Amino acid sequence: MLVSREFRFSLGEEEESGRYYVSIPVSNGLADYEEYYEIDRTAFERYRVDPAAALPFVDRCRNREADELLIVPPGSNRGTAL
Amino acid sequence: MGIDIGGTLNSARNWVGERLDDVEGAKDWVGGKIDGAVHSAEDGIDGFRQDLVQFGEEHGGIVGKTLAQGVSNTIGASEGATLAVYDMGKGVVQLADGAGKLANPLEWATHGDRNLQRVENVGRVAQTLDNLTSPVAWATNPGGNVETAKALWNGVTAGYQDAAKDGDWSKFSGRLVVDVGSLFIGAGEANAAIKGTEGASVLGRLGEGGEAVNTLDKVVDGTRALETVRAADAISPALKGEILAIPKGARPNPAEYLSPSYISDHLAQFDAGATKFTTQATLDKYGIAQRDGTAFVMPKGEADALLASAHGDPALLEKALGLPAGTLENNPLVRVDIPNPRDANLRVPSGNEAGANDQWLPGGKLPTGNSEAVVDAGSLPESGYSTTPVH
Repeated sequence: MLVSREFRFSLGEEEESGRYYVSIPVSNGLADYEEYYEIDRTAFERYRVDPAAALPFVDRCRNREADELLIVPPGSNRGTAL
Repeated sequence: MGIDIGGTLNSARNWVGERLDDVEGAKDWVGGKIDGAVHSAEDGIDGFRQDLVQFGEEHGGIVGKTLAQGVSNTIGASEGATLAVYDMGKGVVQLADGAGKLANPLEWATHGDRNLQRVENVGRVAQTLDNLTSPVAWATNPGGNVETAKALWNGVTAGYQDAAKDGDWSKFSGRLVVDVGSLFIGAGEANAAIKGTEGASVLGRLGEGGEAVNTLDKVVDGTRALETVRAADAISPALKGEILAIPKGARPNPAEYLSPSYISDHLAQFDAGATKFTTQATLDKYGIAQRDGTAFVMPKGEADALLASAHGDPALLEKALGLPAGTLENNPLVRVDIPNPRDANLRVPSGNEAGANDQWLPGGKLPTGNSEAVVDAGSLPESGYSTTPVH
């Protein structure tokens, strides 16, 4: 688990499935929450050692260019990256 | 874009008032004579609205026309609301015994501030209207209630038909708020609600004990409903489109297109406190502010109502907040309460904030109709807010 307040993303591993993820904070105006994007173990280890290396991928997530990797589909009022 | 929308609107209202004063002599007339005077004024203000749009176009091009149209629509909503009260006033007069004591419907409807004392005298009639929503009254006096309903229906629908026929939807919406509100709070009270706190104090005298408090609550709700429609009309669709077309980061300060009174009224909704929701994990990781230090907030009362509607059910909370299903299963929702949001530079969002998404609308309203504002949450000390898990 890693939280980068500087770059505003976090890394983690799902307890049940064991999948690795990058999460970013988002807000839809009513609530702040997180979106979770699946990554492989290689990326997880690389980002954990060097958080700045994750930024290109994090930016893709923020720009909704990696939606195919979303672990949980968006709700009815999808938030924007904070 | 320095047009004083509030001042222009007040000028228009004064203009209407003078126009109606001009027909002071008609007040002794009955029925059709009074109708004619009112609808002459209606035609007059409609003409004024058209002139205003044309003036805006001639002097300010597309932007001027857009602004003028926004003012015109606002006047339309207000005008529609006033006329709806007038129409209901006709219904009340037709129902009341000794209708003459109510003075005449023209002044009652258009100069409510002069007639607040008379509103007290209509208490008995208001009771008649209340009977419409009483199962007991329907059971004991169905015929009377049917006649009451017919009279009100006849008094109200004509105005709707005219507004719809003319395609004047801003006026239509003004009528709608008053008439829908009147179903809950009664015709005389609806009129008083429009007139604001002075009317509320009179209503306080109308009711007794807990009923008075209940009535005041209803009046406040009615006033809010009116403000909702006025807010929706404060910015024309065209102007909204122009603002939304401006890239995030370059959008204008809301003070450039909202009147001071609109902004003041909007922010006053947060005087009882501001609230935002966040998941516990998001709060733990990133705090209450977005990356630019701001945070979107809603009036505390709206947050309370939202939570009450969900009854603590996480699935209902997710639905109410538009969150992905399952978000709150293992990640509690937390409410962040800011008791004094003005200490954190409370303001109407500009749309440039980090949290302004593609659902953002100018004017401090969410697509759901909820109110929103923005604060500099990043500068708040820990003593300036509290966090509470809600389920």
